[in-house]
Amino acid sequence: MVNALYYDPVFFDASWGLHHLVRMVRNVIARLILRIVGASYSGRTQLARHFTKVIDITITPKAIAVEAIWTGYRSGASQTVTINIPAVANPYVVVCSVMETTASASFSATLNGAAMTELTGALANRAVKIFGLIPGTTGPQDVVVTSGDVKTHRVSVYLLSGVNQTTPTLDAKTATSNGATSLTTPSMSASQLGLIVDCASFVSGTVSSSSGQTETTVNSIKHSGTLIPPATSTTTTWGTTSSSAGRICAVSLNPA
Amino acid sequence: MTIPISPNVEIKSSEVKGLVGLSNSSAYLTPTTSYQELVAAPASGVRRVSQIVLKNVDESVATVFYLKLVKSGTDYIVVQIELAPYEKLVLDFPWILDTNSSLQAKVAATCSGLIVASFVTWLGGQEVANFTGTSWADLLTVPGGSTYATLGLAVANTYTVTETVSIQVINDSSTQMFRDSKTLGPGTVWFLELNLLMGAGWKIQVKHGASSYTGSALVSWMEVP
Repeated sequence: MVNALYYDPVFFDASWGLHHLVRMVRNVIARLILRIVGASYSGRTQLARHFTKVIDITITPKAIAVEAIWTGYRSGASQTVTINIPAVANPYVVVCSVMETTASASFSATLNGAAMTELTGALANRAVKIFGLIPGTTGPQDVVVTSGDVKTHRVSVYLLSGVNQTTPTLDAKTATSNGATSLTTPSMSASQLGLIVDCASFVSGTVSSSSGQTETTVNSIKHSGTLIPPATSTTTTWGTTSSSAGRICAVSLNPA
Repeated sequence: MTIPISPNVEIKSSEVKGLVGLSNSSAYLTPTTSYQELVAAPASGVRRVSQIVLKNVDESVATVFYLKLVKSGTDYIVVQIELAPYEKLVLDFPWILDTNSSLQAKVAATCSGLIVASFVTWLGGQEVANFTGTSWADLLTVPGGSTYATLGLAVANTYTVTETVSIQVINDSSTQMFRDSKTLGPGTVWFLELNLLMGAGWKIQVKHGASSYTGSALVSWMEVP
């Protein structure tokens, strides 16, 4: 019996044990019968394989990943950025949009024709807004940002995976000033397995982030960024080399 | 008692436990926020780790448990899973540790956690590879005169975005005998209990779905008659 084990070296379970117990008893009976009738018995030489505990699983970390980034820059009342969304787990699209002036109240965004949710933003001191939406489909589609005013307009579009599909965001904050070299958001609730996306604009100077964000540049100006929250209460900061009016917006995303 | 298991190897009766999926040793670890050895490399021979249990016994802290294979100082297959209070992960997968391989574990935040790995002195081996790009990379090549039975395969996407990883088995004439693929998010590990008999010269290969994307893979095997 033992020699037969080597054909079943991997996993065994109760059904396997019962199956082979029955076979063993049957073979013992066969041996006795064969001995009685004087025939020889060669024994079993191999068993059938049993794959009863097949593993085909994936273990996915709880985290939000930036799958792709698209940018757009133009002067006009609206701007279209064509994106191509692959199949990813728990997707979410974030659009950071900056107009280099205050904008009309019609400042809005759509994804594949569906209105995106305004997550944070305001129109004063450089119009900066962040929009978000769970994409309804994969494949090529358009993000259309409409500002209502014919002004210079920068857009960055983030495709994220691993975002909670029921409650995509945990918090969102904004800060504004008529003249400053640095702007910091109020504290945001965050998950350290989540992600913060922020967006900033200043009237003058060279703009950069200072909270460790991974920055996205649109037409030579640093425009938005992403940050894995270092704590469950987090701020983000952007600054400029020349004190000026500016605005910063940030949204804290919730991991799935 | 010694049981002939193959023309090339022998297994002692005390090791039969391993053949029927049982273990005769368990390693217990209270994880900290730094990697610690869960199952050490054997002084000689190989160990088969059949089951690993990650258990969060903390009443209030949810945190990420990490588990990785380290071979000759290089990390392969890093498993990450967040466990809420009282949640656990039981992973039945055949890891084979040789004298250069160990399993290590940690938690992301201080919590009351317990990790148990059950293993037995065994036979066979495990091949590992960290691979890049869309060209097939050899993970396992069966040497001449040998026949291997694969026990388990794990493939991880270590790149920062979601992409499809693929595996294939080719025979000694480079004819594709088996192929599979799966789309994996960043850091996701795919465990596949792949029980294939492979002759001399056969290979298991892995590749990523995009150039410059990185992945990690391992396959555990034993030699059979």
